[in-house]
Amino acid sequence: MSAFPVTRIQGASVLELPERVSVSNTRELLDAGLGALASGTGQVVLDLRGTQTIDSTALGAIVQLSRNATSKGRALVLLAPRDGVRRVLAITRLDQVLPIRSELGVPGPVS
Amino acid sequence: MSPTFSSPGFAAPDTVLLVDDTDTMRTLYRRILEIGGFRVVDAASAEDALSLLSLERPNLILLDYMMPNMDGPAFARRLRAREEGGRIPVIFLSASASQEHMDQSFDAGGDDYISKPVDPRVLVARVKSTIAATRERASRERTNTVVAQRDHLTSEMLEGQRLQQAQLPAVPVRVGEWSVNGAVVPSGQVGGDLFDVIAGPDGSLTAFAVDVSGHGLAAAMVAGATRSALRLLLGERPMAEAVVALNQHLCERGGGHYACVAVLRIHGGEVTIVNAGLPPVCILEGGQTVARVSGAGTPPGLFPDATYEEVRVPVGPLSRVILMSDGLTEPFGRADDVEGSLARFGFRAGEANPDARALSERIARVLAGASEGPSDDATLLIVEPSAAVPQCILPGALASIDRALEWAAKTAPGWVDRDRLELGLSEVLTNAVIHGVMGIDSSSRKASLDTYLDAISVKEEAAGPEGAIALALQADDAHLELAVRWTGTPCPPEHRRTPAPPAPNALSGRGMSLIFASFDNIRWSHDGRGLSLGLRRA
Repeated sequence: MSAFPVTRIQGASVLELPERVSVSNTRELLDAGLGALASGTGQVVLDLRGTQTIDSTALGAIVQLSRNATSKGRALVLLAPRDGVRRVLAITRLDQVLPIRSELGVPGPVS
Repeated sequence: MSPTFSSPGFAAPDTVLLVDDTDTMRTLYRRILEIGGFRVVDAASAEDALSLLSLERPNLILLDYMMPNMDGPAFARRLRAREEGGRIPVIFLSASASQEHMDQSFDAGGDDYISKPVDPRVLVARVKSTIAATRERASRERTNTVVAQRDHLTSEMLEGQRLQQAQLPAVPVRVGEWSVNGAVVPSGQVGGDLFDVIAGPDGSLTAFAVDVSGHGLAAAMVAGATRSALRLLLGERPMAEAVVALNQHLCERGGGHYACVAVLRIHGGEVTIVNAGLPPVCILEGGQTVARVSGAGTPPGLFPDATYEEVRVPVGPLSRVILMSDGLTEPFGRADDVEGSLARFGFRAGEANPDARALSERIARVLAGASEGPSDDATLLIVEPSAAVPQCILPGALASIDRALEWAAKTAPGWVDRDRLELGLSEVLTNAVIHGVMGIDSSSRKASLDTYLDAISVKEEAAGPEGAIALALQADDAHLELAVRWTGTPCPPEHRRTPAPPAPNALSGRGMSLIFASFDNIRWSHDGRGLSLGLRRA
């Protein structure tokens, strides 16, 4: 089972990120994110509700995914980062350039 | 005679190559070994056995000592001479129990020697134990190889760390009246943190820290390249523009790495800061934070069109500028809590600079106890007045003057007249609080010690427990610098009043008159937090 399960919710591809996102699983994050961008349509949502810590390598990967999404005319959205992750995003000012949403709708079937 | 093979009825048994020129013996030993659970390959001569070894790699060779043409020891020597990729154990079988045969067998490379007639149980047991011993030895050798490779890698990594540390400036670095102390504490591997200090031709001090994303040699190399680029850029353009250019350089360079950077420059009583991705740069006075400068743009290397801004903050003899990477804050769960991390490291205002090693050890000790543990390199830079400035924190209005005078009398150098110091200090305290902090116009309300006491009482009451007066005194043979700083909320600019100019006039009190009579050069500066008075005698 992937460390970053992808579900389709209200037309968006939602990647559920684990408790720790770091250099040790950034490759999987990129693969899952690029896969979602290649196969689906609509927004790609990184679900950060369960993520406690995120390191610099993973932040770089998220920016890379965001750029990839933009080049495809799609959007990468961060969902409900917890306080610790939100602080990291604020320090790096990525909260000013990456869209952040606080809620997501009711889950639908995986497409 | 061609070699013959037998197939046992179970998977992957150990294989024994049986070499004996006597058909009945081969049949007998084959039966014994197969019953013992081995797969058996046999050869009727040493020559056939050598040919067979190009096709088969048995776990053991059971070898008759006496054979025509090439006997057992001769075969064993040929075998040992051509062995590659591991040693096949050999057990000699011989009708002779002579010591000479045994010696020759072992000299030729044999592992064991069994005299005929052979007890079937003994034969199976010794074949099994010899194979097991060989397997264990091979495993041990493999382990030793892995350990040796790991030791080599560890040694390389430590060498990389030493090189990384060697590239840092030797601290403390003193530039003019300021001193920079700092350390990079590696997380256990070569990483991308570093700092550097530049003494400007105009007397300015520039310091910066770089934290490159990721770990390992690649991050370290990007950090080194970033430092070189930043040094060059800072020498030829304003700070914010230098960081913009660095950002474009890193974006064009690609490679997936980016760099969190903060640059500070101290010149002429203020520090200019550009923060691009590091935790807030904090300016402390008397142990209290008076300013936090957060990131003004995304870390260089991510977005080519990012912009950055310079933030200016007044600094004086009591100021301490703290810059740290998130390796010091994130392990405690709050990436922006610079003050919390600083408190954990136990750095107190006015403390003498610890040396770099002590600084590193202290940081490493605290990080080891963090809930997340050290997972990233950690960088700390402390910029403060080059001498350890004696300081006195004065909470409580009524006790302040007495405590300040008592402290100053102990701290001031011998050439300073105590009475004049007392009067001067009262004057400075009064002016600092009234004009610098309270914004009280002395033309409407006469500046006096009573006014000071009233003012500071009001101020302390309004500011709560964090409000306090911090007093610093710095002196050499001819120069005395007194700094009075309010550690609470600064006076809003619109309420500040320009203090009396540094010359006696109708509004000057007796203290100022005495100061002017006692010193040849008088200078003061003020802002919303207080006042510094510099006195110099000829």
